[in-house]
Amino acid sequence: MSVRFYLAIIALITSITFATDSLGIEEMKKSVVMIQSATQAPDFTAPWKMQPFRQGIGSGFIIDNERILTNAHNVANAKYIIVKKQSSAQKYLARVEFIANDCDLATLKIVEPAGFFDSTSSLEIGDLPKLHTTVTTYGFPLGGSQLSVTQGVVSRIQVDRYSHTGADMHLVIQTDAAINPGNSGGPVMQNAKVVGIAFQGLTSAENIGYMIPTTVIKHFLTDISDGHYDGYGNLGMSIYPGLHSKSYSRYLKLPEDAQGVVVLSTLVGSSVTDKFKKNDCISKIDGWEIDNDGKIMIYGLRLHYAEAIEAHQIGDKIDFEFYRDGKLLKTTVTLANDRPIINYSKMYDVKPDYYTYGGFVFVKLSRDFLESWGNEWIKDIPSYLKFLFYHSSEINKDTHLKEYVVISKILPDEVNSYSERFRNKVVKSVNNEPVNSLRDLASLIENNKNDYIEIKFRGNNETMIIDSKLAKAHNATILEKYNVTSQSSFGY
Amino acid sequence: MKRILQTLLITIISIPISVAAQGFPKKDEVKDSLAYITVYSQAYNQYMPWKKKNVVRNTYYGCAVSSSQILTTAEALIDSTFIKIKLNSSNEYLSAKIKSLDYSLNLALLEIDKGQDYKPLTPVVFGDYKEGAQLRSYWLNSRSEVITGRGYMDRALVSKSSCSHTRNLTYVVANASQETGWGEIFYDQDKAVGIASWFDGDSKESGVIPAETIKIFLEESKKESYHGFGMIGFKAEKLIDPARRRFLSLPDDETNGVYISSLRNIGTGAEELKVNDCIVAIDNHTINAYGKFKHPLYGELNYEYLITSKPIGEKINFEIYRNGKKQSLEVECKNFKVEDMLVPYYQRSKQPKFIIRGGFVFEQLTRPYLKLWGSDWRGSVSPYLLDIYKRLSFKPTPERKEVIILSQVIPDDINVGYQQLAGLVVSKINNKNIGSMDDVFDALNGDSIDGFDIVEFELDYPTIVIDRAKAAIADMNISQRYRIPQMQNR
Repeated sequence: MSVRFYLAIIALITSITFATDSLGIEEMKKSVVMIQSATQAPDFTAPWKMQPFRQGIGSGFIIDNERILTNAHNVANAKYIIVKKQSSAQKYLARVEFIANDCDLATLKIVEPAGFFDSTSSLEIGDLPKLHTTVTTYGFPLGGSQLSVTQGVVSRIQVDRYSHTGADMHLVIQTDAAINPGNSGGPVMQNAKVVGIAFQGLTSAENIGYMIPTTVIKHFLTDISDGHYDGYGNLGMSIYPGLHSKSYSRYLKLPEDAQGVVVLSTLVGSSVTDKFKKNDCISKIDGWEIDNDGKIMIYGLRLHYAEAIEAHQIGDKIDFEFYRDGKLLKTTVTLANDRPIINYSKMYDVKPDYYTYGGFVFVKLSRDFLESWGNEWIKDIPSYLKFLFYHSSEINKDTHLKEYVVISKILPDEVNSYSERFRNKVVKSVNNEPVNSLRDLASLIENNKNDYIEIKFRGNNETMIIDSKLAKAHNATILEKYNVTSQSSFGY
Repeated sequence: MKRILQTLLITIISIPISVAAQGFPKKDEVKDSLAYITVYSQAYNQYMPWKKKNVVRNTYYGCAVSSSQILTTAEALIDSTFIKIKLNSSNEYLSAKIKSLDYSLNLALLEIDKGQDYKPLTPVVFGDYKEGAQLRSYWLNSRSEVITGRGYMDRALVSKSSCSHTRNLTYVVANASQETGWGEIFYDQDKAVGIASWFDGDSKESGVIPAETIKIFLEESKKESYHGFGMIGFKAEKLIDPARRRFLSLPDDETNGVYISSLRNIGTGAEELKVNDCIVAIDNHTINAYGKFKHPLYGELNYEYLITSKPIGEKINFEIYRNGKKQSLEVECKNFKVEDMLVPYYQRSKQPKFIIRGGFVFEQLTRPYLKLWGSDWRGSVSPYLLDIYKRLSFKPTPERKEVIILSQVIPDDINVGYQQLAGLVVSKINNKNIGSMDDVFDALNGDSIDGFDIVEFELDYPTIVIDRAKAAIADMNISQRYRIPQMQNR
């Protein structure tokens, strides 16, 4: 399994340097394992099909309770996982215990662990390393069977995007230790403790690798301690972190020396809709003072204010102080996972829903569907889909709308021979009844009594007409002809 | 000998050269009908509308339509600042001005400035279309030599010119021996059939603005004011889907017609037609399911010709099915200026409207602005602006005649905290809805809110708060520091 890169890099390891940590290096090495997996993702445009499976190699390490900690991207969509120790030829079948795609972490269990954990010790999770200190990376880069150990310096700690989902942002540690494909999931050590997990790199610069810090690892381990992974919380509001204009401050009726971030909007139906309004200025979160750049001083670092929220689990209470109309107010928010109507994150281990009728394949509009356009998808996708992807959370005020439904494919048949141009259009209504979800659409079509089904689209004035008698007569043949296993993923 | 006698006769009695001629005119016979046109042009910089781009020099060709008037393409004269003409009869450049110009037809009429000494031009006589006819092209080069080329009349179609959104009649000359597309004149024997407006190097085809179009343009140009020709106010789609035909309740024996899929807010039919109307005939010409009608001369042509070749104000009869019932509609032929569009497709020979206040640059959203994002602008530009452009360009309303954007922020102390904002659509200024640049001028020059100008945007962007007193001083500094000669152009 390759390290997830913003853009993949293949760099040679320039140096192999052994750490001088107090825990015996050899002992530490025994706890680092190679993970081999076969993964297979669904086809989001034709969800009854799977994409070709892929094999990959990554790294992981043993932690308490006979678990292996690794990156989610090593085992996401996995159909088969093998774990191997450097010291032995034996391969152990493993399974995913918990997976957190939003922070690219997973724990594995060995299916038949007899002998696996002999003479190994679980690695201890440490704290955030200090800037400019040395860290040591362990792993199996580029598929080599021998454990590689490289050293580097912690050069930056900041909030950044996790490329596994392409959207979630958490704290990352930047290091110049060589992190290459295969290193993913390997421990980054300092003073015999894990200070991070190697997980992604950059192609646009040399020797820049990223690791997941222990704040994120601990958040994950705490989350799963109740036997369920809930994920990071997300407050559904849009914030402007740039309150440097004195005029803007006066307009917001802020005291002379007040700093903070400005609320621009709240997401429809979010957990903070009743808590904040446009032009509120949030000055304090959980006791941390927010400056005009939206930063707080935390862990001895000046980091994005979201780091204060990251410390919490879903369901926790978070205290806010904010200014509204010149008054300093306080509120407490229960952390939820508010998500926009189009989830910006890539999904794993899911069976995407679909519904077919008359050869038209309807799916939910998702990032994964859009990524079917290939590497340049963000440039190549139809402009209206791009518009929705960028702006749906801002433009949607409809509390009933659960998801956008798009025609992902048209399986050619007499029923749809004149409708090719409606592919990739987003359905607005069926027979003038609003479509708020894929199931809504299926229900409206299945319950249609008219001779024709009239489908209208968002961002487009056109109407598509389906001859319902013809479609019903042809449905079974179309499914058979195109090897579609069933008419829908949910019972039709 | 016969040819010489004819030529002499023509010269002596001073009638247009080709009237009595047989075969293609000789070079000598057309030299006094041709012009070599040099156009200097300078467009405005869309990103910094107070600036002009570098002066560009281009050359085009023209033909005489009177003793002092020259016909060429409108495209040639976009952003023109100075036009000079060279004739065969004179070594000196002559200056000329635009008499009339129609971007939809891609035609322009130049008038040589009075008081200059030159031999009066011999006007060209235009003839008719003949499919398959051998053609010859003529133009005057920079050394006042007549150059010729060959080709044949392949077909007539209705297509867009490079400087307009309307589709007009175009002749396609195939197997063109020379690259023509800059106003060269094409002859079919002794009659001119049109002037060249484009060339496709791959197919060796040249597009020709037809004599028919030239004639109606010249007629219109004689009027006191030029009103132009019709423009489409709706979008029609082919109607070949049996399910849709039945859905629209068309009779089974009706096999013709196109249906209206959407309406514009401007142009012919925008008010009279409705979505799902099925147009089966225009002015008694039956429109087939692909939107074509049979023209007696040109064969099958797109229905748009029946509107875009019609002078505005005339009545056009539409035969339609509406809710399954056949009816006649009398529709007034209308057009609109590019400035009437919500997002104008072109910004020709005009300075973009702008105002700078506190370093914030407000501009009108236009297609040339969007094209600042380069050749792949549709993939690179803000999806929100692209969506407005794609869906609403032809849908201005009385409340929203223009889309106003904050195009950029010129850095200064007064706008610190806002300097990264760009390409945002302005919704309100000082609580007044903004639907045009005039609204911006009025709001910024009207009452402030407690000394502040408050600018709000569509989507989730911060409110801009400008201290009006400080902005006046800041703008003076910005003007000097960034060398901006004008801070607004109202």
